[in-house]
Amino acid sequence: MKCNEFERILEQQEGGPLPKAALAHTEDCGTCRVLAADFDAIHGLALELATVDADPPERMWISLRNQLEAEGVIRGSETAARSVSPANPGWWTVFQRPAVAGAFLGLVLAAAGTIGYLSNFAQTAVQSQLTPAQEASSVPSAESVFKEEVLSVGSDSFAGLQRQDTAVTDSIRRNLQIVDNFIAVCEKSVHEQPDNQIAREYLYGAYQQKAELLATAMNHNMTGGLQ
Amino acid sequence: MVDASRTGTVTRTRQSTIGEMTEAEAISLAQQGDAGAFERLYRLHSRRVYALCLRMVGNPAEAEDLAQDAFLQLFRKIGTFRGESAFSTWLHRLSVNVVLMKLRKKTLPVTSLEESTDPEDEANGPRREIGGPDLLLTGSIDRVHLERAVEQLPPGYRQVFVLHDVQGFEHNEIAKLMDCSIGNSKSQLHKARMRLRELLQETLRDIARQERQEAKAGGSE
Repeated sequence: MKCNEFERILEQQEGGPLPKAALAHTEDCGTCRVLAADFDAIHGLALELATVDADPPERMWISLRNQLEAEGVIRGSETAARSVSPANPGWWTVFQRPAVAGAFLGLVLAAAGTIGYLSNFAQTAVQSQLTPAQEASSVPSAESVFKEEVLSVGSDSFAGLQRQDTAVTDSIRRNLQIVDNFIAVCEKSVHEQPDNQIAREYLYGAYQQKAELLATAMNHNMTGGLQ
Repeated sequence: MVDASRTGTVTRTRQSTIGEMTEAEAISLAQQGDAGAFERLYRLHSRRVYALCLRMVGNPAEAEDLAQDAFLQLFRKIGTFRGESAFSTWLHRLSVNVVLMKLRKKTLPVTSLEESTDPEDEANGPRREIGGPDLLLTGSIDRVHLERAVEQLPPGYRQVFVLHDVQGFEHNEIAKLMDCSIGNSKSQLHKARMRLRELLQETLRDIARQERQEAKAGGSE
């Protein structure tokens, strides 16, 4: 075999070992033996190149993303944020404040033990003043009546509380303040959105909780702070 | 796993979860338009795609444009990916197609594989350096040397060499990609390897010359 024939075989070779005739030629021809070895070395290093990546500049992703957003291929990063946001941000944001949320939970737990007696007290206070038709009416009238009852009870309770200086008293006082703040927020929301039934329900709940606390305060006063 | 169908809109993926997303999850979410999923796929494959483009065109700015075009086409078509083949394979082939199409459209020098780039290469037998022995490359060159030599190849030679020896395409695939015959693909690859061999031998000679000069300078002190 001549060298040019060997080179043609090398050119047409598609991987794998060389034919026997070509191998035999490399045993006799140092030039072709080195050529074949060099081609193997180049191929081996080329395979290593395939595993070596290069870092593209960060602007490539930024530009790519902008283009995809402009074409609408990427969707929803802003839409999703808006889709989970509350329908009434002024109302629900109250519960996003950890302090208010924690205080609300604490009040619910504190009133759980006396809820049976206190709910009767609240209902009697409302039902004695309102007919069923009036109960189903808009919030303001029910609110004003209930508010009057709560305030009247509250003033008595507060007076009693102020005469005593105990840890329980302080706790009740703080809780009442929190509930008052909560009632103020609820009243504002109902005033701004009179048709918002959820807002009304929360306001009712707030009044109820205040009634529960006042009942607790009253009970505390009657027993002279011994409970 | 983020359930994008539950809300009817795409749920935003937190940045901290992008890196934890598997490729399959990212593909599924990207098909629904999730931004984090697109970014995850980009981070997984951008270095490989960019490296491929860079090797084929030899110019970082051009490589950046081509890699970006490849990803644009990929993401526009991602809804059609059905998983019959590996995603990386699909992306790889798409990238090569993008590069070759761009090279044909642009004024970048694209060597026709139907023409010989150097008539002297048609001479019989391997080229010999007059006055110098054939240097054995094995054990004397490394990946860096080869990479530099590849950058010096004429564009047509470089494309075929990168596609075949680096990326592993077969000659019949290269022939389809570059619109030439299998015989031409083989011929151009052979010429590319011969040219690389010359370049690498020059590199070795330069290194040897430099070492001799340094030794001489050190001995005279």
